Amino acid sequence: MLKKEINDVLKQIVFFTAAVLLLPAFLIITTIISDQSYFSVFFPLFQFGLIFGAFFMGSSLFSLEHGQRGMEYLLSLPYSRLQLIGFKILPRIITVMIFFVAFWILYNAGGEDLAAFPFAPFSAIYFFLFLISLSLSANSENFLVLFVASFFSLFICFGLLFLILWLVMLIKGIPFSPLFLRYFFTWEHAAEASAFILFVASIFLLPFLISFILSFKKYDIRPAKVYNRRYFKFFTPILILGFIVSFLFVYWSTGTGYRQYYLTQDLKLIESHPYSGIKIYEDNKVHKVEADFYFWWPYLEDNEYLYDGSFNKIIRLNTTDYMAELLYEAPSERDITWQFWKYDQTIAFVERTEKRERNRKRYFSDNQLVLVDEASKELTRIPLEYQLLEKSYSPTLIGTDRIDGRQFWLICTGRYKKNQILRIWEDGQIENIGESQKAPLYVNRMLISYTDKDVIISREKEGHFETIRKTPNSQGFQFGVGYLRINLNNVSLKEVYGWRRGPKSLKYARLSLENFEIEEFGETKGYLQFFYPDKYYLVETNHIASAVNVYEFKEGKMKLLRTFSDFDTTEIRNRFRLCKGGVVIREGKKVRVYAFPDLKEIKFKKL
Amino acid sequence: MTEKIVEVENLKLNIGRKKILDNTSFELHKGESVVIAGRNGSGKTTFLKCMANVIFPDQGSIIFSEEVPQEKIGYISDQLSLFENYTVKQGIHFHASVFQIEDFDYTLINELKLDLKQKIKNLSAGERTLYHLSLILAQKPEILLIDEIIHVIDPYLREKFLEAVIDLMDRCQTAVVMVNHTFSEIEKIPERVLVMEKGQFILDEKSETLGEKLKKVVSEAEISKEVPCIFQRELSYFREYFVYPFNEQLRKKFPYDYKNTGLNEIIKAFIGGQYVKKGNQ
Repeated sequence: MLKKEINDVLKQIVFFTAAVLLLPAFLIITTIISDQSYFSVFFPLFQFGLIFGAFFMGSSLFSLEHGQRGMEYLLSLPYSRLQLIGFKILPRIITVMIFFVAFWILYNAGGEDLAAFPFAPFSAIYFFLFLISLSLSANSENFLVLFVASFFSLFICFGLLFLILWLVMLIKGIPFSPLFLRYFFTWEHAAEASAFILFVASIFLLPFLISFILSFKKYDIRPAKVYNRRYFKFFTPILILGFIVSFLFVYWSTGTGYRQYYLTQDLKLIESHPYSGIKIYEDNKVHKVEADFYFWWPYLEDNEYLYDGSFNKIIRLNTTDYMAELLYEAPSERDITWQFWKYDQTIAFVERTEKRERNRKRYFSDNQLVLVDEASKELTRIPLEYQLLEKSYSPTLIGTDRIDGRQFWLICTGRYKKNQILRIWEDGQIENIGESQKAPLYVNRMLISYTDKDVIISREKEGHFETIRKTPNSQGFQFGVGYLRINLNNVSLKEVYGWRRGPKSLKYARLSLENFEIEEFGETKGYLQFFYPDKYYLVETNHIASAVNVYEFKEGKMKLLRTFSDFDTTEIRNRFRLCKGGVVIREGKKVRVYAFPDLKEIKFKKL
Repeated sequence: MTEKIVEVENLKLNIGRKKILDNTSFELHKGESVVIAGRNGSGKTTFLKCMANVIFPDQGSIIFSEEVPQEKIGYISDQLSLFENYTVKQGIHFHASVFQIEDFDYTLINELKLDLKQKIKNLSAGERTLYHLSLILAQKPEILLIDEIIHVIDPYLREKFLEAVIDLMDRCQTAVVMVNHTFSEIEKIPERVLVMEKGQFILDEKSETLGEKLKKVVSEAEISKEVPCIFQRELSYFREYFVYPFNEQLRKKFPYDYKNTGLNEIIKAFIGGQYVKKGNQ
């Protein structure tokens, strides 16, 4: 019996594969879209094909038997109904998984930029549609009816999910927004938010699957309405139960959602939460910040101000008068790229519009360097008309300076074409001043860039950057903690630290900004964290000992500040955060705070 | 009496609001041959499909004895349902693998001179019936269920079909349940005759006693209303009365000319009687 099903499914695969492979070729040959490559036509069609294939795989469970008048014969075979389902489902599930793996491989092999649907929504639609159409396959012999019913059910699944999310938001008083789901998820990582949404949506699959299994146990050749009546007798209460369970789960999980904490340099603890807003703890006081927008995460701390740039908004929180202020919000079609930077009283960032070429590859048009004056909120927009930037996913501002009264900004194009370094002048003039193998750095009015073997130190001289020193860098260290230098103010530094990733650990080195010598001084696991202007810390997690060590780098020495041996590193929801003021540990609802310089524990009475 | 191999108790089955089976009960014994008759829509095909596991009753139970696993039930449906896109050979291989048949007997297939590469859907109704029977025979079934199929095949194949069934009964002690309208061809087969009406068996008699219990009176005049007549029909200048149940006391009290009649006519009388009843309601 299993052999018969495998044969049937193989025949379906042959037809499906032939159609999906030949259609793009046909379109290209007939010159309808002759200027495109086969793959660029194939991949979006492949996605649509897979969606319909998933529906077909599910809904065709009994179509062959119906089509060849074999249903009575099938049911009279010496198998229980559940065995029959097992024989039929097994090869179909394997097929659906094989096609999904094929999709995954092609998606990662260049399909991502060509995709008609992004990965996560596509995967959800693909598997949901397969399971829904599978569970409805015995409800009708009519393919068109099954098609409408399956897609409608898919819509119902996601519709109910959004209804629940919306209802819970309404009850909890979370402001509705087109981006409401981003504001809504209670766990800190987007991946978990997707898993959360997928989990809740999956609850609505259960009525379909359970009803199918229960009602198919007594499936027979009577008219479909007899089976359908039995199916809906199971389906309706399970759907209602599923709705209640999902609602309670969403209500509960958002109700106990985790809060974000940040410790400022002057030892104020900032608590932010998607719907209970922002609170600032000080010794024995707590202040609630009134704001109509959500403050996601303190991205930059500068004196009494904290800045957040999430969701294309730049928000400034004043920790002395407890006011939050929206400094800038990008127009709906525009994106603030990568992050924002600050110098003096100016916030600077690259803003652009994401578009797709005919072959569906992404590009970025209307690139602008936007400068926001914090005091007046006045905007200056400098067009960045440079073709390389249209292809660069992450143009990064690495520095700014003035020469002869003229301001310039240095932008690195990111990994695209080996980090081209561009200088942008106030009048929009752009000059390419070279390339760097690794992310360059502008510090002490010097540009630090890299060749394969050397660190190149150059300085502005009469309109161009002149190399003043080449330091051999055979170990391939990268200095300055990459792009994390958010504050671009030019201050005088004695040293910068850097790292090189080895096979099992990280090696650390110091670059003296006085004699430009590289001094390798440590090898460990962990990550380097930088705070403007000159603080470097290393956070080392030891999962075996369940401990976290925090080191400080100073004058070429690595000093252990504290070992946190009571932190459970295995629980993924626990958070160990290094902030400008110290360390905040959150384990479940319990929060502990440790302040620099020696990381002694401090208490907040109202916390 | 031989051992009981099936016990059907109080089957109930509705389709929509229509009662198809209504508290139907039935027993079958090893090697027994049974014919179920009844007018169209009386529920006999549904009853057979319930026994073949193709339809589940809403209520009631069908209990097979331990020596009758599902692999030992052969079913030939009125639709001659098979995977008709298969070739004759593929169908045999599939059936043999599912029913774990090691030595498939090709005698019947060879007698029909069927091309093994031919698709099942291209077989004539008669060939398809015999082909289906050959699949079932290979199962060496304990029970053979045949649903209203004999009348669609020509006399030559019909004889072959019946010979094969009788041979199976002799060889394997197989119990046969046939649903049929006409009895002229199969009069020798049934040991028991059942008539179904509105989902219930209104007659369940041994063939040998049925002839004793039902007599025909042919008369120009009307017979007494006290005589239990299940069906009467008017012919050109006389009438036929079918008397059931008949006994010798009845003959003494009402001395008509009671005649024996064949199984075909007996069944026709029962079915005709139900139509008359329905007309009077």
